[in-house]
Amino acid sequence: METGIFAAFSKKVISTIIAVGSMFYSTIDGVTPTMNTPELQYKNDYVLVSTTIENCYTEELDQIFYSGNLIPIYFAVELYKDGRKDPDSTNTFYHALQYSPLGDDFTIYYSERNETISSLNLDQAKVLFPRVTNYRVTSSNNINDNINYYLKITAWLNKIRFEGMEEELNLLYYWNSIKPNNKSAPFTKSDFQI
Amino acid sequence: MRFRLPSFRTQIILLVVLLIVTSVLFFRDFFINSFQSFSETSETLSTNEKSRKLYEDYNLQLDQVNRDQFRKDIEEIMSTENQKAIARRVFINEIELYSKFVFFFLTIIVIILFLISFYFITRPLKRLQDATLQLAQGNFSVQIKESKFSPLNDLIISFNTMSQELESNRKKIIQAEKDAAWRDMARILAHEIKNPLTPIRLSLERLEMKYALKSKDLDAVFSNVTAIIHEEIDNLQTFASEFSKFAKLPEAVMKHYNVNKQIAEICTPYQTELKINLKLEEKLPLLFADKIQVKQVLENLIQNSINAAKDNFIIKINTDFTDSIINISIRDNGYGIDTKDINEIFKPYFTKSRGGTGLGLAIVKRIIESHGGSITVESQVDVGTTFNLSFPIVHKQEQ
Repeated sequence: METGIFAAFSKKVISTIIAVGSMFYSTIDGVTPTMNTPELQYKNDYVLVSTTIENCYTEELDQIFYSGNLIPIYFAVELYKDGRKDPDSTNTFYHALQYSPLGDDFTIYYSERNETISSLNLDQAKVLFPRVTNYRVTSSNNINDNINYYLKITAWLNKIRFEGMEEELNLLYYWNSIKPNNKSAPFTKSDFQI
Repeated sequence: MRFRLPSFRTQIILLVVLLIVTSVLFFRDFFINSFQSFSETSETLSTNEKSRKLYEDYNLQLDQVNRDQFRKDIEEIMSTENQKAIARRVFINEIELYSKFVFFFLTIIVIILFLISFYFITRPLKRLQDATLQLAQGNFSVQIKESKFSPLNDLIISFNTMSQELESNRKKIIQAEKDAAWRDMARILAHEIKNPLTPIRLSLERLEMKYALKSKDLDAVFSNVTAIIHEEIDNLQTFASEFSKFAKLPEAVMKHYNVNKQIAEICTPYQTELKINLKLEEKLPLLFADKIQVKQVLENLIQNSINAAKDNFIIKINTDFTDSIINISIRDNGYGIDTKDINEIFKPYFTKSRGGTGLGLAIVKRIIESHGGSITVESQVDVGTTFNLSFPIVHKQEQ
């Protein structure tokens, strides 16, 4: 009984030490990703946006990609009126990367256009995985006259569970807990009439 | 039976052993259980190669639907394998880092415990040091607070006992010295009073006898006797006056003044009868002292030298100074002082000269010491004597 109490006490103490220590230092050597400035296009009365994330891979992330687990990047595209704090609209979508151990290749699923690209090697997959291409944000009907708008795109990684681990691994640690984001140049409804 | 603490060295060893044992017990369960858990997990892992071979061997034997399901199952197994490899790597990284945290934490705890124990060990030592200093300064009543859990407590108890004994002995010595001083004084007083009484009594008896016989030289005898009685009464008055001076010196009036000038003024009247060489430092700082008392000192020492004068007698008076001291030396080439008497000359009532009270040099010493100075003497029989006086330099802003 005493050993049990002692073990529980020591576990509690060690957990506290680890929790406090983790506040200052992490096992994960992360990178600081950056979101490129979103590029806008106007096509068929729609605002389209394209961008990608730079500096978003580490050696450990590459190994995690090879695990065969589904690895998603989530995106949120927010439409703001200039000077407002709250967005007019928010759209979310994700890109999911999965490795095939038998085929030794990668597949990327783009939820925004329900499209899958297969048979990619790692280098190809790493280029295409964070890239957002011509995402349809909104139609001109939703844009008011004489008001400046801008877009803000944010990306993040979630926790995933690996076999053999007691707790989920927060992939965002590999991005130093940073959710990269960036704003587009401002635009108005008149830009659609070009 | 009194409980005795283990020795200081044993206490330190016990402390270190306690820390090690506690640390091992504390962290053993955590790490051992973690490694056991990890090993169990590792043993269940299969290999990707076996899965791949299994797929290659059997996938062509299956129809399309089953082949797709078979591939999915095999990939799931291989994925699980890969995930476990990642989990293992992450786990190892975490253990490495967490062990550093624990090591850092343990180091901090050990340092804190060491500092605490060091404080409790050194606190009695500091008290002992302070008390020893006070003891050296003459405070024999100093006592140290006991530290019952300190290995130095026995030393503290011994120190307290020692200081109590010293205080008790000091009181006994002071009392004994007082008793001896009173006895000496009573003896000297009796002696000094009896000395003039004898010639007075003899003179009176002679006068009575001459008067009874109606002697023709009665007038001459009367004159002689009254002269003797006057002389003896003068002696008694001188003695009483010197005794009074010694008993109570007037309060010093301290001020800065040029002691060179004072020496020159004192010597002027003597220089008509004897040779006095003055070698006075021109840059001598001002002396901070009672001018009248210092004059008394200088006159007393010069007179002392004159009392020991012989042929070709000469007195040399020098002044000089260091950073903190003004030195005055008075040297003569008189008869000198016997080696056995050197240590006695400053004691009250010690004298070798007829008619001397033995209080002069005692008064000199007392005046100089009351100014924070000191006096020493060097002497050689038939060569001469040198008195060296030292006074502290007191700057005006220090007053």
